[in-house]
Amino acid sequence: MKDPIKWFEKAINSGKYKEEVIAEIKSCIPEDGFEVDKFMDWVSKQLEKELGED
Amino acid sequence: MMIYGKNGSGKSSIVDAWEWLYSRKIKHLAREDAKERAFPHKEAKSGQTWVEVEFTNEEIGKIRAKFDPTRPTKPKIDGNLLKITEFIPYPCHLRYRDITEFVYERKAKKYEILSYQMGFGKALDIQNQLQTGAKRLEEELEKIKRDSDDLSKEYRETSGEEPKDISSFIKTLNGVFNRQGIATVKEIAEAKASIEKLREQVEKDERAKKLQLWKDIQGIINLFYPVEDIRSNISKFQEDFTDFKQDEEEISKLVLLDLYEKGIKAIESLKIYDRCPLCDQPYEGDLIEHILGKQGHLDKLSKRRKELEKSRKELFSSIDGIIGKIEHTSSYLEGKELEPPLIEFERNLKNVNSPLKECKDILEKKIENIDKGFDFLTKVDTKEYESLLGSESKIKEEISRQVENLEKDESRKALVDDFQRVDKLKESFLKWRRLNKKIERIEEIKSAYEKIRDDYVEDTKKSVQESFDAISSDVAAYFKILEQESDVLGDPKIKLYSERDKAVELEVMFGGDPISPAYKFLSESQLNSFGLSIFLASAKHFNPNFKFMIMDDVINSFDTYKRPRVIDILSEHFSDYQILLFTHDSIWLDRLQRSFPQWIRKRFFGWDYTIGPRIELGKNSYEQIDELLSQDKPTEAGWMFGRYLEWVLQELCENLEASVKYNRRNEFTLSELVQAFRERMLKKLTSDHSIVKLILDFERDTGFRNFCDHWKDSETDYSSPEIREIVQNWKDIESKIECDKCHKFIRYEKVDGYEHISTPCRELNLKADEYYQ
Repeated sequence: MKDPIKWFEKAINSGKYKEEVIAEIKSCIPEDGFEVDKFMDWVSKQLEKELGED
Repeated sequence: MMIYGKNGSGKSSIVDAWEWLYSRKIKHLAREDAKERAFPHKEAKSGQTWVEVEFTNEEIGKIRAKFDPTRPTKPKIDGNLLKITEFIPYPCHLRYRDITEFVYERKAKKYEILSYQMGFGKALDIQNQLQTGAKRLEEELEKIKRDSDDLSKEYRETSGEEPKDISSFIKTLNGVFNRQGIATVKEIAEAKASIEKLREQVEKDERAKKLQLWKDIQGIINLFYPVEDIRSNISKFQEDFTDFKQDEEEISKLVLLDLYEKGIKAIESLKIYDRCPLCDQPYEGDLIEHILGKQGHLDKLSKRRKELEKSRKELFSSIDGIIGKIEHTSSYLEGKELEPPLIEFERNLKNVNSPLKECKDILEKKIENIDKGFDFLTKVDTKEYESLLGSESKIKEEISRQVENLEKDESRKALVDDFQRVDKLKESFLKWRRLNKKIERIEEIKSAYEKIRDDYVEDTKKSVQESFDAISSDVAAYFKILEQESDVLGDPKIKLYSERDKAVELEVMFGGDPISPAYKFLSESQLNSFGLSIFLASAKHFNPNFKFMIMDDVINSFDTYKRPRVIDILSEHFSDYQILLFTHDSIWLDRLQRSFPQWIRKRFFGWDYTIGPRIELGKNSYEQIDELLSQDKPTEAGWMFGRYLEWVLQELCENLEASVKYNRRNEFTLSELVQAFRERMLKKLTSDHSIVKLILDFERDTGFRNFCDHWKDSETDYSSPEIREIVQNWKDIESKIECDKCHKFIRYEKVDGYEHISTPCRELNLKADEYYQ
């Protein structure tokens, strides 16, 4: 746990978690920590995506 | 290596430099708001500020961190910095203040400090950020749900039923289409086309088009009014604000309130009422009363500030609401062909909006940050604002008149009403449906996210607990050495509160019962023993491949009698470590030198603006006495020797359980100490003992102390050779009562009825026959 990146790598490989979410969280941890804003931007894009036009 | 230096000689800067290299941060400076730009020397030019450490471990090699003025938080690194983290996962530096701050922190903060110190810093940062992310997701979901509810309400008000699915929506629209002679539809795309047909029908009829416009305006105006009149509140706020800001100096002191509260808590917890817990200076009188007096004065100001803050927030909210209405109304009216009185109404909206925005921006700041010269009233109390407030009935009447006139034709009225209804239904239903899709998606992400977060937190907690367990036996062993006198204290533990995410408390056995938090029963010095034990145990366990530690004045937090025990711990448990130790305690330094003769000794003997600390070889008391005698300064040398001797004799009397003449000041003269020491040695070893004989001879020399301490006629002064001889006589005794192996003095111990006068390792035994020949 002293190297959180390894925890996330292991978590991705475990198949225990929703892949897109765990992968995105990991990609938001470049060096200095989890970038919440970057993750929320991704969430916003997800919300807009695939809604399509009625 | 040991470095001696008085306070302010630059010792801690060395630790700062190490911390900066290790973590690119200097936490205690950051807490004092000294940011990275403050790190370099004021005269240093670009490229002249750097820290370089050469490791004998070839895998790490030489590392240099160079301060970059263009990116102060990102030093330029030469060398393999990643290797440092690999070899030193746990911080190996400790400051006096780190210990004292730690023991009084809250449970959550303790957890954070310990976890960071154990190398869980990054894991914990991510844990906190994941919690923030979870909160943001929750807020986002709530916001979308609120918007969805609003649209649902709008739909219900227009159609009389709740929005459900596409088929029920289409069914509602078909009812209107049939009435207007438009064919029934089955899908949304068809519905949209039919609504456009209806729009064309309305637009073909000029009067119907106009009726639609007026009805839309009517809807917008009904949302705009009523508008809150904030002038009297603004006026009152302006008055109170100007009055409050009159004394800027007092306002700036409000930050002290928190300090006063914490100070009172600390004093009550320590039960020391005549000494400042911050600076450790004595105070004549009741410190709590003194603080309460100061607090009372600021309390009134604080109360006024609180009331003003409340008004500020209320006004901010009111103005924000008015701006929201103005912007919504303006955006609709823009570009429309308006008629009086709406032309003037639209102009007023624009003129009022900008000054209100100015007020809103200012009101967003806290009271103390608002410029005292800002005039809220002139921004709000304008004729345009007054006109907006006063023209509600006039505008509404005009709209009703126009609508009424245009609605005289029933079929036209029905056409416009139907079009408006289906158009509105379409807007609200489609938006509502999109939002519902968003809700489903965000709930899906949120649930996956929370599972990841929960597991991550749980695993972090587990790892932290494992680390606590791993160090617990060492913590207990070190604590036992530091607190060896106490029969009632023992078994210290770091207790993780499992029911919460992050909480740690220190527990100790006190008289057979577990006490948590430990500070309830422990003195400050005992708590510091706990803190130091945790640090040392952590450094040992978590940096197994890096046997190096930096300790900055850590003995500061201990009572004098307990300081030698820190040496005992280092000697017993860290003999294979490289230690860089800073101290300002010269007596302790002597003890340290005696115990670790192989250590390098340095002394910071001053600080210079251009070069920083002045360094020389660190001399022990004998070396300093020798230097003074070489300079023919017998009085100074005698004074220093007397001081040294008193310290050594106190330790000897304590070790030998000698009876020293009591005095209530707890101060002992040299002759009292020598007498007690001589009597005890004589009693336990008899006058035939060779060392006792030396002591009896030496006692005759102790008169030097008075001559060197007080002014005397110069003719009767001791000369340098005389002082040198006295010192040598004592050195001869000292060399015979101190062990070469464990570097400790003799002590008295009774084991199984046998009385020992020996060192703890038993290598030196003064009861041996050789001393009686």
